[in-house]
Amino acid sequence: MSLWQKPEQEQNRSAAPTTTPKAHVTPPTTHGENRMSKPANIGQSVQINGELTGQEDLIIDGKIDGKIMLKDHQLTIGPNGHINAEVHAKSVQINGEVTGNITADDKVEISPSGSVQGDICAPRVALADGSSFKGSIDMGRKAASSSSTTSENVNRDVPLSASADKD
Amino acid sequence: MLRWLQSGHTREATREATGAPAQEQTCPGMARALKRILSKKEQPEVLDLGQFSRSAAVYLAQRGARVYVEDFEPPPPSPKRKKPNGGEGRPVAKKPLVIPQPDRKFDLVLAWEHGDFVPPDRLKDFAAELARVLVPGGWLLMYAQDNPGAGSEHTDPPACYRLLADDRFMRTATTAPAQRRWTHPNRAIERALAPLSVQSIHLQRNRIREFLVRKPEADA
Repeated sequence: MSLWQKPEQEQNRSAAPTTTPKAHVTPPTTHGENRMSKPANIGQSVQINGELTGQEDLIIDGKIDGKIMLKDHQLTIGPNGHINAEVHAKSVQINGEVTGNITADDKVEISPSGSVQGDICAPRVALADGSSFKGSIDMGRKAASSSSTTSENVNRDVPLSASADKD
Repeated sequence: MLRWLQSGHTREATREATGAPAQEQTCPGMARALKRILSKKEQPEVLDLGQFSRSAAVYLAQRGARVYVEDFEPPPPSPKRKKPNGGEGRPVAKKPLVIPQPDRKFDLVLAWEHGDFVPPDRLKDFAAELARVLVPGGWLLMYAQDNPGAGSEHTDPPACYRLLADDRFMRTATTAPAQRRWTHPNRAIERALAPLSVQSIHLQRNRIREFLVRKPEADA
């Protein structure tokens, strides 16, 4: 009997690696690709003084003092984020507090829990009801004029229909 | 009277409007002011004092204006000096009423209904401050309730204005706490705005008056 059992156990052992790891089977990804799929996160306890630059999407829940440059990427300020900086990104979503000017190539969105004190310069801006904002809004000349397509808009690659959204 | 009839302000409409759900309203003064400032300058400067009218600020920015947003807090009534016999005397020092913006900066100022939250004795200060930030030839838009049934003083929460087009808006109630509010007669508003010129008063169906005001070009 034991002679018969041993091969079975061995068979099970040998079979185990082929069945259980299936949960861990993920397509082989490079380090860079993994980063792109999941935005980087700056936690609540992190405080940065100085210039912050990056080439990937970023979520900030900590405190930043200085300057944030995320060209071609999205910046999300979490509900616990406190930013005292000049911000430049492709799009900016604000759920926390920002003091400083914000420039976005695509869109700035302030959620009901968001608070901004500073000037906003972006082709598309959405201020939710309940959000706090003090400063100026500059969406560029005819950024959302639905009547005409200008070369300015084409150059900026801003879809006219999308730029007319409201909070 | 003619303007009253043109605005469709009938007794039925007034009754219907009290406490009625939000509905679209026309704002010819807004349309006129926007047409003038947008044709005059490539990027006119607009000051929006409405704490609950952020979507209007975004709308105006989309139309090509640079919009500055300020949270304006109406001043309290001036405290009165107590007389020894218990009566009230002349007002003591007033709390300054300041819009933190430079002189002669804006082509259009949107004061929405803030005038209603300014006590009668401070209305002139408020108007002077609005006049200060306007460029000569600049425009001011003010909205005021016309609700004689509510008395000259009552409490009401601020309203939210949404611009749907240059000449149409929707006014909705907010959940903000109610504040003291005054129903200023037309004459009192015009008198307070004295250095400025009231171009038109449009009476809406929902008992809101729209004041379109212009600062004279030859302002010294």
